[in-house]
Amino acid sequence: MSAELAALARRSFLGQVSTGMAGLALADLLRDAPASAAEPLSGGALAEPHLVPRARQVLQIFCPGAASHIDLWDHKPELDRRDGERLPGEEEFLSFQGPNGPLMRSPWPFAPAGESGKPISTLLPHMARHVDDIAFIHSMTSRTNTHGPGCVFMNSCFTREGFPTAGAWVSYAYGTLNSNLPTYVAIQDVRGEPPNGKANWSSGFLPARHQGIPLSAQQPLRNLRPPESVTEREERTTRDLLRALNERHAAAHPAESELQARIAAYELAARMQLAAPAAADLASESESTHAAYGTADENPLKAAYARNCLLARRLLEQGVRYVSLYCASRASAVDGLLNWDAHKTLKGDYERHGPVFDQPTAALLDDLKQRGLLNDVLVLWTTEFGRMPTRQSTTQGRDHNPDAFTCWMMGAGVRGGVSYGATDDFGRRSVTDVATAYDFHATVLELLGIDHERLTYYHNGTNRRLTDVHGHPIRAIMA
Amino acid sequence: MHASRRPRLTIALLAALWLSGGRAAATEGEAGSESAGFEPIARLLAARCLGCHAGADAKAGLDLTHRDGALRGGEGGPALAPGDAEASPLWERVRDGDMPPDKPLDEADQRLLRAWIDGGAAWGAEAIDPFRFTTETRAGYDWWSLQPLAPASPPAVQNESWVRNDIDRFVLERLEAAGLAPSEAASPRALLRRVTIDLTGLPPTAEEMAAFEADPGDAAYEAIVDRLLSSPQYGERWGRHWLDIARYGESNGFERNGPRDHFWQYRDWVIEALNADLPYPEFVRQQIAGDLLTGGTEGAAAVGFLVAGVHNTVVGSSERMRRLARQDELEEVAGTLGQAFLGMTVHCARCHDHKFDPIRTEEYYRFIAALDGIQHGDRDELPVRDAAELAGVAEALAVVEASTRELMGTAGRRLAIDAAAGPAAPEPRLRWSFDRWFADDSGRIAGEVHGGARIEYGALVLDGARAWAASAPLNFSVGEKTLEAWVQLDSLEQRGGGVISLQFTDGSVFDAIVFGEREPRRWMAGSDGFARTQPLGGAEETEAMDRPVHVAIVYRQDGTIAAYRDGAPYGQPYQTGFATFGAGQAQLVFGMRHSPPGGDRMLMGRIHHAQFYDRALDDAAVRASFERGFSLDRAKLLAALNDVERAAFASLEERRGELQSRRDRLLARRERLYSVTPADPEAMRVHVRGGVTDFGPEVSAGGLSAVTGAAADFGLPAGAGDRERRLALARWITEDARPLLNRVIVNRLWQHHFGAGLVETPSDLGFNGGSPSHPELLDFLARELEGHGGRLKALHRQLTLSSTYRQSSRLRRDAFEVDAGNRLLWRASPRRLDAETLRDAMLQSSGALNLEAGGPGFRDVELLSLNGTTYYLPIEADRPEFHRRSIYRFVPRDGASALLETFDCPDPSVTAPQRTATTTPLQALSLLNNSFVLAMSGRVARRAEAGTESREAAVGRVWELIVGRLPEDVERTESAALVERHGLAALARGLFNASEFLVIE
Repeated sequence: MSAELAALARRSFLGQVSTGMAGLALADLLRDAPASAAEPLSGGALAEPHLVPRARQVLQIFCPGAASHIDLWDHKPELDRRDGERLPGEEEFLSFQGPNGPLMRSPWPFAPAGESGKPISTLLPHMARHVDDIAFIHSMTSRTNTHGPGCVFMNSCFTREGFPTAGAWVSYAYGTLNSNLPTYVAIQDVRGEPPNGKANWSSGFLPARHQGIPLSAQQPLRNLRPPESVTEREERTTRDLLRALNERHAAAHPAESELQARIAAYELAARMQLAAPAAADLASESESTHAAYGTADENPLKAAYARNCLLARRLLEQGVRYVSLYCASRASAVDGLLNWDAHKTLKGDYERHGPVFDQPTAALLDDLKQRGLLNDVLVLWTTEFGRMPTRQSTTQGRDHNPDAFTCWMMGAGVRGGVSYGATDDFGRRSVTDVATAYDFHATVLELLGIDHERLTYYHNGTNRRLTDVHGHPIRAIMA
Repeated sequence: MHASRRPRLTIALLAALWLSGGRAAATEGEAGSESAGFEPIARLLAARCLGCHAGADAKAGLDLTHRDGALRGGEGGPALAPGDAEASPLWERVRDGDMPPDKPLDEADQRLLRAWIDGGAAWGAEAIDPFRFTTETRAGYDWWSLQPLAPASPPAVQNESWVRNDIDRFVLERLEAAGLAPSEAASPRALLRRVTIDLTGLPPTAEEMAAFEADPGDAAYEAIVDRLLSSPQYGERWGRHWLDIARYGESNGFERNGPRDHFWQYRDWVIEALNADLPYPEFVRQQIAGDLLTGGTEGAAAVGFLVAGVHNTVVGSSERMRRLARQDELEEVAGTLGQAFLGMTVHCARCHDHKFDPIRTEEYYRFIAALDGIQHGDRDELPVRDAAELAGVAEALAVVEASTRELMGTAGRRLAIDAAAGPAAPEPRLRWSFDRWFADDSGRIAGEVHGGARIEYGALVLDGARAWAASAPLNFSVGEKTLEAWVQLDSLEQRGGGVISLQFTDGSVFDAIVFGEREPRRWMAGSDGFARTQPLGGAEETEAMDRPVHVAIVYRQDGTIAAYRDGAPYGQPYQTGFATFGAGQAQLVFGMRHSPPGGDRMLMGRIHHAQFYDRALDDAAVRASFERGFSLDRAKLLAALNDVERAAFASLEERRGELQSRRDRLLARRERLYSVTPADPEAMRVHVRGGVTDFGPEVSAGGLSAVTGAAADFGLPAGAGDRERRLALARWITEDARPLLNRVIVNRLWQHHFGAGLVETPSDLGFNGGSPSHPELLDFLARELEGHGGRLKALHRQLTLSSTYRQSSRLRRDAFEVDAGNRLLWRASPRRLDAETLRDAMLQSSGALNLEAGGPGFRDVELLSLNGTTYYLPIEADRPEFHRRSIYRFVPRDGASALLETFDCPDPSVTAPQRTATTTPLQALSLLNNSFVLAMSGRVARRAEAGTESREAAVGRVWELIVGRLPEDVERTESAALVERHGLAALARGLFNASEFLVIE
């Protein structure tokens, strides 16, 4: 309520805002008019950060399907050596899909990269050039071994749907940097939504404006354009009438901030109609940029993901606060076809997914770096859990492993070229500095200047947090 | 004096006030045994010390809840030297400011403590319950909402003439004390729109507006309120509010998110109960135990509340994950139930004692013990009246069957096929003889045939294309099992048909006897995705076309699967994973590998007999079963009877025929519902820190002692069945906890009529919740509800007839500066239309609104099933069923309507007692460009045009249809200009975006 009173004091209880809404007056309005009694339209819940922020935007790259840590990031020489032997101590182990066969070395050798000499799978030759900027967390663990709840857990710290995701919390904390664009954008893969779909960018019980807005190079913002039956002239005349009606209505109800907020929302919508297509317009990018990302690659999946990478950079550049970028989708009738869930044929599956991911992501990271965006943007790479070092008893693939996986961060506030935590000799379990999604997001929030224990929202009897009642920031990877 | 959230009084003063009364003092019974002088000390210790120094894991080993603990002391030796404060470490630490840490005791409290120790440190006889008092950091038993209803009498006010009923007195008294006057009465238009939307969720028509403007008197208004309360739309409006609380969703959520095709009955039950004005305690009781109290479709629908939440159908193969999923599910149910009915966040005590409210972990487990019989599943039910008749028929049939069996037994013995002669055959849990009708032979598990499957000469005949049969969902859970059948095939070349399959009702998980799928002409143990299927190595089938062969598959807990043919092992057993099937989740299907029907899953042939065991048979038992055979030749048996017996048999058969056709007629009326499929639970144990590996003591079902004291003990043994547990819980919540139950519901009514509750956190009346703005009024209303026999409509009437409700919403500077949040109710709070009302109002304006009530919801989504997961893809169409009220929308989780979601309609995954109301650019885009809005705009235009003669009149009509009034001059001019160029639909589209349409004044 005090916010509203303050706004009231600033406007000295006059209806003057209600006339002459266009142009610069709007800027004042944006600053002053609260969207509802509780919250301003564009600002956040935190009057100021709890800590010194090292990052102010987030790019989260998510590879759904449980991307295998031991085939991408976490080199296990012992696994190579003991290929074909039973996993010591767990010879008869049953995992998600049943019995496990012997240990299976990664089909791709690892090669040292960068000055740090960090071994990276040769499946990802382009990503290898970024290792000196990356802080790997090799000791991640999950609460579940099922994809849908696992993805939602990695995004919201709850396996059940209905809780706000990290992007929504950040939107809630800080609001927007550019009110002409959504604050939180979820870029889905061309193959479809990730497991459990929209719950991965839900605002849960936070106000709806904090939810991630689905948008991709293939799918423009919903309802952005009037239908073709409405001419430009009709649109303008209708909106003029609407503004006149709403302004008169607001004038007749002085100081009702809600009414002014609605007028502002329509102005914002109009600007978003211009800004969003401009932001999504990849045609203005140079040919060399397109080539670097691979937007015209003959592999349509790679080209589509590359376009989404480029879109992500443009959105970040224009001030979208939190961008989630998905590389792959839900499972399909065939395990491992549409995402990283390689139960049956690891080699074939990852030779399909690796190239889709590798070049465009590496190009995106180069681009962010060259443009200086990594001073502001914290980059996250996540998946929902890891995979077993064994093959399944009857296949050449790996089963789910919630006990060990890798995530990483780079960019604003992150110390590059480090590896935090470790799995055992085979990558079967995280054993050193074991980390969770709670720790991961406590770290993200801290890098954004937020104490994860103090960013709360009252809901159903509890002051809810992103990190539930857990989490410790991993300071060892902070710059 | 009850505790409130921010204690403003010093501890000492509170202690003095304490003597004047309070429930805890009366119920805890310590007054007789304790010197009154200890009371302030007990409070002081509770407030400042016991947070750490209490119980078995007290800090530093020092337990200050009782005298012995203090004298014995902790790691630092005895804490207390009675009679000598200076020699008491307790006092030293307090004096030196070391304890309590962070915030030392103030001087008055220090004096109190010192004087008490010097005076001999007299203790009460009983240990101090750390929950007894409310402190600065948590609520105790003296918390306001846990007290009996205060006998509040409406206060006197100065401005008597403003008072219409007692509600106004409570409100006006506070306004006058704050130096504020109430607002003027709302205009008739504003009031009518407000009350009509509040009670029915639809705006009034222009005609209703005009009529009320012409006669805005009290009598007319009262008549309107009565009309609205008795309209069917009342239940739809308030049912929507209730369904938000009940997290009503029509899919399972989680990974697979399968649809619940038969869950709309719960939604209809809620609407009908509200329309019938079922007394609120009964409304609650039915939702907890309706299946046990009322039974039939009615009762099964009511308890939909308990299973309305998400349900994890994929928990993998690990026992630990399964237990965890079950505990998560119980937490979800307990949490929703506690919040919905009692405003208590019970679930917060799962891992540790509640941090803010006086609920112990052990009490949490008592509470979930009462709910542990709940399992999700489908039920086939008859309306209560038919169910009673069916029970009679079934009983009579059982008698007939028994007599028939006796006769056949006699015949069998004469034919020297005595049971004792051969090895005893194992008794199956379920048996199908397929002789007359398709229930199992006991008649307990109903079933049905599909796709032209028929029963012929004692066998189920299957065409290999469409025909199959299924049992009803099994009301018990299955672990180890044996599937057995005598089957004859029409072709040995068929590949993949299932004989008998135990499957999840959606077909996602199954174990089945399958013929020829992976290897031609061989039997195999089929399973989902071949997860548990390996080659058996049995011989190729050669005889099954010529005679029925016996096939059995045994599934053991250790993952062993063994197959048999004609009673002998078929190939080699192997070891793999193991599937369990929860009660109500699974069913047996015949002639099909798994759902859905079609493809290579269908069997061509006939099943003569099938048996299901919920245990693993050993080799000898399978052999015995085979040797015993499934049935004897009936003609042979009859021949062994004498004439009298044969006549008796004939008459039994006739009687049986009559009963069966009656039974079939009744069964045809059965309706499937997604509901509770109860199963008697095991004794509950405390799960240490909410985990599933470390257990504390066994507990029996119970309530919360903070709410009802001793009545929270249901007096049940830990091993009590689901029935006793749930009935006791229902009684406790609706009778023992009635004061709190009433407070919570009257606050919800207030919330939806006034924009915010008297307590602003409607599902939390505990420490973390809000304080009541008008505590006496809240208690008064709770008592009024009791006086109305729990009937909510009478309370609605009282609320909406009050002067408080009828105030204008105009913002007044004087009042705004004093009370910007309108907690004192100096005006009506303006509100934005909620998502459903917005959509329904557009439908009403356009004339398209279809008021068809009840039944399956309209589906504006397309269901796509892929690899066991269901996806809900939005579809757009302008069809009559899509024009039903929004409450009749099929509401899958993760399948929100874009329009509704944008306007803050929550995903039904968690209980949503309050909706946020945001204003965003995306709402603007949605209201301007969503195809539904455009379709409705077009309809408004056509409707206005059709009912008027001139363009000018049509413009006026568009205004009337959308905002309920004619335009003012300037509005008319502007509107006419727009319509001139772009038509009436453009105007309608504009008006649907106008604040005047979107805001309820």
